[in-house]
Amino acid sequence: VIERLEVTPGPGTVIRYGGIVAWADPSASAALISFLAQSARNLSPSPRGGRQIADHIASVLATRDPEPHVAFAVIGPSDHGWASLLHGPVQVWDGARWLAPTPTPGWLQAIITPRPAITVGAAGTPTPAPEPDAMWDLEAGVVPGSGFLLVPSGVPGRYAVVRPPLEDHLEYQRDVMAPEPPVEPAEESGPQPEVEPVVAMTTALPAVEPTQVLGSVGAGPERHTAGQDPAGVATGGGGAGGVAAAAAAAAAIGGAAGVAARRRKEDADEHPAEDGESGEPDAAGALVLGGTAAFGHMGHEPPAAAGPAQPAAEAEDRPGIPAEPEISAPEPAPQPAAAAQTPVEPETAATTAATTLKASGDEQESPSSATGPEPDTGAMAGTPDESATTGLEVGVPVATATAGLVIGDGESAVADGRSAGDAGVSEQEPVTDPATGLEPAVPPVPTPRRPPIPGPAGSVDLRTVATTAGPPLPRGGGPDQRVPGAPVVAGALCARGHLNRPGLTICARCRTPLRAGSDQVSGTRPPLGVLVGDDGIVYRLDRGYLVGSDPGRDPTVGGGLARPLTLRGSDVSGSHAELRLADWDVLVVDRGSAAGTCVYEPGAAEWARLNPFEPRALAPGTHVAFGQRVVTFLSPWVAQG
Amino acid sequence: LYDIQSLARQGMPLLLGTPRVRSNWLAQTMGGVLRSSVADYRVVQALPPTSTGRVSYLCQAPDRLEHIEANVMVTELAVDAAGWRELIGNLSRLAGVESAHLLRLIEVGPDLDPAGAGVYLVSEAAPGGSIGEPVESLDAVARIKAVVEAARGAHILHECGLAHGSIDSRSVFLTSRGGALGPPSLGGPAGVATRIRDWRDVALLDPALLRGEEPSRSSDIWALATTLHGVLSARPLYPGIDSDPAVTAVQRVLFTRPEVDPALPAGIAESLAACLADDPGERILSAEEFADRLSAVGVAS
Repeated sequence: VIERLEVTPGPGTVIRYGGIVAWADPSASAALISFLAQSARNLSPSPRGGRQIADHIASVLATRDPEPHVAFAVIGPSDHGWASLLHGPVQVWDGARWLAPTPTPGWLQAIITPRPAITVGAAGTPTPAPEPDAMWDLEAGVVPGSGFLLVPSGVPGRYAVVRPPLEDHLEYQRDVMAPEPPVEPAEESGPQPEVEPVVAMTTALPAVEPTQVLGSVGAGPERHTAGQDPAGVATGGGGAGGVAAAAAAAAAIGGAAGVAARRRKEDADEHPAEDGESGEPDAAGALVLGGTAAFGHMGHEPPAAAGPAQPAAEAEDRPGIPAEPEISAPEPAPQPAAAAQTPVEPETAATTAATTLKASGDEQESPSSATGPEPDTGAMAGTPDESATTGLEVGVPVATATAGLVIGDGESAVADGRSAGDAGVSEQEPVTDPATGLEPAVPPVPTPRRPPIPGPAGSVDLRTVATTAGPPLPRGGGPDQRVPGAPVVAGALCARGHLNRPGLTICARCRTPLRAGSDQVSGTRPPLGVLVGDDGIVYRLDRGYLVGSDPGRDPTVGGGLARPLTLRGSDVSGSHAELRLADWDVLVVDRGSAAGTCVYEPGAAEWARLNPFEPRALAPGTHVAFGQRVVTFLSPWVAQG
Repeated sequence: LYDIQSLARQGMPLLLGTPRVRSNWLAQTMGGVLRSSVADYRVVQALPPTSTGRVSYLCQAPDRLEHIEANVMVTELAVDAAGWRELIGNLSRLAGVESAHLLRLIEVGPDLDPAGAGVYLVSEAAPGGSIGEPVESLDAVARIKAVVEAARGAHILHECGLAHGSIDSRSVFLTSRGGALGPPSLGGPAGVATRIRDWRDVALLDPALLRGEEPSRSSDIWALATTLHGVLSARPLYPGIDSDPAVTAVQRVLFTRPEVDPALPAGIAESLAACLADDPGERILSAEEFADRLSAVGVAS
């Protein structure tokens, strides 16, 4: 369903399970995050999971909204597009339009059609700059992020460009993303192999225990001991660089995910039987969710909730919990000088974003992961060789990195002033599969390009908006047709079927003569002319108006009985006067305004002030003054023809 | 209280028909504020205003767009939610249309600038200007050709179910492809038909619009004819209207018949007259037919 999910670095939390993606702003409580993650996880197998989770959350919110000012969004598949629920100050850009709950606090449910992608973030934040072939791709789990870009499968062809050749791509990455610091020549060896920027990619397979930290090939493999921290998984894809990036990300999330996870783990340690009874192994999510309980203060159980209830207060204790020094940091693999790693602070690593490393469907793999030490994880997360053997992780150059779960951040490493080589791979030896002896294929799969950056909030890109067909306009004229629901008047028909005001001698529209004394017929009343304002604005008189400086607040307008005609002026009352259409006449009625309403009729010598609430029929050519603002009534329906 | 003419003479906000409006259009755009930007587009040059309450700017597009320059059109009138929905609905009918005879649309959005209140619409820039304000002088044949191409663009709009509603000489642009019809009317508050500044704006309008009817295929055909007449002849279509204030001009259009300049080539004059019949049923039935007739007679002329 989802081709790629690019996480926007920054504060907040991004959640993905299957086709369901959620985002919450940094103010979201751990309870809310757990609730979202648990719900997403439980409903992710459903092809209508998006609709179901949106309905579910809406039902919770309808009962009570415990965090009305928190921005969050949930998007997932439904029968007719992408169902979404947007809550609080959040904005969604579907490539052609903006969606945002209005007013806030409040929420909005909508079906979104990606054109071709969906961008989610906090309201008012700038949309992320385009990053062709961006490396971020969250496959599953809970990670820090200020938003995300969701690219669904099968995006329109204009965005499905073929990835450039590997060398070109690396060239681009080096030039654009990684200002390479000078490389000191090796003293012993000959020419130093060119250091390619690398993003560490970790591919998770079902056999992987979700609590593993999978280092990338060539990087000093960082490893969490399973069971010690079954929830908070720091996937330091790029060795030092990756860990540093993940640590930075973890700092942004404020430990929300990791804390919630660890608390759940602790609770699981204390109550292993309960966990087992849940039938929902924690291992499925790197973030072990106490979702049901954590969001329990909402008074709702998420669908198919798993796990025992947790005290909400416990789960809401989010920030600043020191990490447990549970990271076992094995000796880094022999690295060239460029691979000198920045020491990883245990606190940092332990509070890194919890990330699920496996796809959905592997829940049954490790129910014990949260209840006890992991029996054997070295084969999966140990040395590069081990990883290669199991095929569980592949450290590859950037060009192939988008296929999997990207945890390491090459950009972060670069931003730290280190070369791309620091990020993990010291040599450009291709990784070979020991079983086959073959290099892993670099799949030349077409990669969707990022859509254009959206314009200002509320704008619509007319180059990508979906076309809606409309019937062609009718040709020529014809006799008047009865319009259902429109006012009906009696009049005289001309030879061409135009309804005219009684008493006219020629048709006001086609100028054909009207027979005197012809029978009257009833028909839909045509517009009675126009009003020309002193600012040049021409108003159609096909309906009545309420004139004033703020007529929109009047119930007459709110009830749909009249249109607003706004005239700005210091002496124009908010609801100054009405212009009513009655039969073939236009009536003006002063609403008791302070400055009064005056008319200047054709042939008159002076202005005449109207009595309040006394209707006056207007003759064509009459000027009407509302305070100092003047409009002129013009009409073809002149009785004398 | 004053009568309408004395208000105009005293320079009150009553601006109808006063020469001051036309000559000072640059300064009075958007309430007298010459804007430096619209949304994230940087204004390079203010363009002449159109007849329907729109102000156009030649703008430098932001980096997020690949276009170097763009025409940005801004409504002078606020657009409410219903008007916005209608506008988006109308423009989405054109979204998939690729035509050399239409100015390519890029973006539409709410104009949030304090000096503005309505909508901005971005289209490709027309380096040649418009036939009303050409960058380089145009001969009659070039003007006819541009109107012919704009008529073909109008026909595309009509077949998409959309009336332009604001065709005039400043909405027939000159692009590298030739003539192209500018964006359709952006609408405004409910019930607003158009905005007129002086008799020139009024003289273009189909009397049906001044009777309060909605823009239609036939009103666009009328406007194409009056536009062509205006760029080919120095004589106004309604004799004497050039001395009218706007309100009087409206009345003149409502109650008198247009007179095609007899000095125009016979084929052109006949084509114009065929578009200016009182009854829409007697007019040329499509803009494409008008274009074909002009193409046929234009060569001979």
